[in-house]
Amino acid sequence: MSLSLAHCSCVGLLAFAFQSPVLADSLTVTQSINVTLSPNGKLTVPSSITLLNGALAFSAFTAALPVLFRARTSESGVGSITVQATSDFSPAGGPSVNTGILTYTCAAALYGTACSGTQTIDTTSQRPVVNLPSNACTGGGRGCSPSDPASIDLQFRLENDVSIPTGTYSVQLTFTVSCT
Amino acid sequence: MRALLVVSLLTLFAAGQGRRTDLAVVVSPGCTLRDVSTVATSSNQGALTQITGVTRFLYLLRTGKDTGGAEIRLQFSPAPQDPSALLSFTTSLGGAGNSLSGNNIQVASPLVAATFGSNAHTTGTGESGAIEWTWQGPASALPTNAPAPALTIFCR
Repeated sequence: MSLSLAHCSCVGLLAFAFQSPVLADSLTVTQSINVTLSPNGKLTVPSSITLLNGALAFSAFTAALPVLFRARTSESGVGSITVQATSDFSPAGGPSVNTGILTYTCAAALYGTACSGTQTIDTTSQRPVVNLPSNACTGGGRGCSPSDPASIDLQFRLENDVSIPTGTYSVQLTFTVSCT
Repeated sequence: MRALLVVSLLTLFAAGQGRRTDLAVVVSPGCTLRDVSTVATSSNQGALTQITGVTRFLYLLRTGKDTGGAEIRLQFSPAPQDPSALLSFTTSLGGAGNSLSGNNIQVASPLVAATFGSNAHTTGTGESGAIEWTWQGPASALPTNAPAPALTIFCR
């Protein structure tokens, strides 16, 4: 029974196919698609890094931190990436960012303008990492960054203050990208 | 449902503008001696010879918070081997620590000149210390040249 029904369906389809050129018509429509590309930015940083000190007693703790970013700024806009300590080191009693002992320097940026000199991290102000010009874009070259995402390395340094009690401490940094 | 979707999109958008990283550091015990210098003189008092010196130093240290400690040790090289050569010493410290002293002792190994307890700290520039020491004994028991003291510091 089921074989018979299947056979009938195939025959019907074949008949429709042979008739379709006769019934065909053509219709051309145009559709405009507009897209508005707004300024935008996105960045990626490691979820955690560990500062290490050298062999000499009380040498500073250091670590490199790569910042990867994608950004697009408008014709009249600019972009920036900043960093700030979300709060002080924890647990309390250890190093304190508000004493100025946590600093960083920026390696030369492959795209945009990197921060210059030594920047001091604290909990009250956003410190510069990269500034982006108008019409900035990442990836592909030809005015955009050659790599996608673009990147910059930060070299962090924590002074190994003798008065800090032994222990494990951590501080959370917030990186923010802003594009207009 | 629509409100939930809007909130979710807003959350994603906000997360795209900022990222967080945890910066961790392990602060371990540490110690060092700097600017170690010694001035010594030799004199004869009858049959006895005295070699007297002062060894000055700068020390920086941080000991473990709970179970830490540290020691400054003094060793003479070459140390007089004759058992009749006796050493007296007095340590003074400009900062935290326990200054030790000894009187007319035979020295066969490095001696402890100062100790430090747990969670001990000096200032960032260090603290000054000095060990005044005197070797005394028959002239035959002491070297003609003053033995050179060496200081070492251990911490945990």
